[in-house]
Amino acid sequence: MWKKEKYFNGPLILPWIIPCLGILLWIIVSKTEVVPGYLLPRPLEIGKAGYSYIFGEAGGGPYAGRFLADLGSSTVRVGCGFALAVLLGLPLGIASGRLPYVHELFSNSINGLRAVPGISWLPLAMIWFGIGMKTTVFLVALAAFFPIYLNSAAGATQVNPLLLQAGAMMGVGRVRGTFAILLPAAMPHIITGLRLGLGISWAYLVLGELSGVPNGLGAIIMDARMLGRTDFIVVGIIVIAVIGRVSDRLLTVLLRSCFKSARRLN
Amino acid sequence: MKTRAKVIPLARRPGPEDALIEVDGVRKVFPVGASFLTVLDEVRFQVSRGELVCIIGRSGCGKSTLLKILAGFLAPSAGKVLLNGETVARPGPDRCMVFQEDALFPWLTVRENVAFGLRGKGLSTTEVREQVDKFLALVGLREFHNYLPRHISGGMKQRVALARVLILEPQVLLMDEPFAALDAQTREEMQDLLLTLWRQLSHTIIFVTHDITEAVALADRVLVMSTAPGRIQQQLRVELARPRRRDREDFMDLAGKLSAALR
Ligand SMILES: Nc1ncnc2c1ncn2[C@@H]1O[C@H](COP(=O)(O)OP(=O)(O)OP(=O)(O)O)[C@@H](O)[C@H]1O
Ligand SMILES: [Mg+2]
Repeated sequence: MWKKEKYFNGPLILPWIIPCLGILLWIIVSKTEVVPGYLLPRPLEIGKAGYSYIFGEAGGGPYAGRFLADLGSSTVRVGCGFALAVLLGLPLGIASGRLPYVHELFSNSINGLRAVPGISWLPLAMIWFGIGMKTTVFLVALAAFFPIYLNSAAGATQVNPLLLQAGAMMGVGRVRGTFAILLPAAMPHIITGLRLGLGISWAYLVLGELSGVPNGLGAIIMDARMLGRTDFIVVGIIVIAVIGRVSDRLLTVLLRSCFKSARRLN
Repeated sequence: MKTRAKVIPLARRPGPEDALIEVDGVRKVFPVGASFLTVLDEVRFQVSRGELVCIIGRSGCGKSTLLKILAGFLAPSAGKVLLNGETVARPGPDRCMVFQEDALFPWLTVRENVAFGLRGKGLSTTEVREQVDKFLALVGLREFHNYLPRHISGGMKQRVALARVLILEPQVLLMDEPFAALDAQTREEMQDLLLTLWRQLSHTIIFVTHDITEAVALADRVLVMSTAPGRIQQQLRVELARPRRRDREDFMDLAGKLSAALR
């Protein structure tokens, strides 16, 4: 107990130490001018660029005020792709974790496809779907599918068989057994899979949007490169890091508020 | 004239016609590598309604395997198990098991664990709550109803495990060394609790243990299993009056007899 009190402020301060040190280092580096400004812009310029990107009036400068619209379209893309990955990966993973036939049927192919780097799908996706929404959604769904599938399968495999037996003896049928025992018992693994999947979704969002989409968080990074605006590239990177972290927290909070097992296991 | 009402117990020596459970020539063979291991061979016994039977045997003689067959988790390689004359084929709420290991749902509170088997039975929320309260009180866990399994002790977990199956009013209670992991003091408390509940609810109980004292303290009848292959090697009726004192001479005599039979 005393330990908890002693470190009471730890959890509040600790996560910010590394970002703050990073910014400090950055300031020092740019003050000493070791690295020229066009390679690594000063923090102040980034701050200005970020401010204009987020709060600026449309037309008041490059990318000014586009943040909300970009965030919106990127979120829709990630949302659709991630939802597709969950819809396919979760049931398939659970089934292959419990049913040997399903496992035999899929595991070879899925593990083979998994070895293919996502970027090699990009040309094919562009031919199939053209540039824009569909390609991005495809890439996001593809990338998020694997961690979700693999972790759900691992979770379902590792469920204590005693719990399923206990359910069977209490007269629980297949359907209720799946929803009331199997899924909750596999929940910690499922959560891991979903979080990894969502994280990688943002990575593949940028990949999809790099291919020449006019709007979206990834699009401004590519666009800024062509205009030689390193500051907006960095702004894009930081925005994606922050959004990725926030969406991870939101996912965790959402799962915890929906499922007892997400709240109470771990 | 004063007549004293005298309750005359039906001097029932349960015969085969009262048999609730009939184990008929059960055999279980496990494939082990390239060969086979015969764990149970020609196991044959009956249990009457309301009886408390203990099965004792050395570790590895196949007690858990036998209980799993009775519960319907495993199919026998040969022979059959009858409940009320019908062959047991799958697990069901008429035969409930209290496992040796902790098998509570760790994401449910004590109350939710006990209520688990009642859901989907068409009971109203109030009815469920009343039932759960009643059984929590029976096992003495009213105050702990909101705890998660990982926040209660081993003995309390086994009480929850008991309550969650008793609430289903099974015809047969199967118990696989349920108190083996508890300290001596708690184990005796749990045995007394089980006897109290048995008297109130008059279930049929098949209780597996390797603790001779536990068998003598609980059983109407003790079945002694032999090892490799497991068979019912001997039966012993325990006629000691209840409550049984573990330090009485006749108690210790019986324990000695059983201990000799096990050797
Ligand atoms: N699924 C299985 N496959 C192969 N062998 C098994 C299997 N289950 C049990 N056995 C073997 O059957 C024998 C009896 O096991 P069982 O668990 O029934 O013993 P037990 O009497 O309950 O022992 P304990 O008192 O230690 O719990 C053991 O030798 C065990 O190795
Ligand atoms: Mg055992």
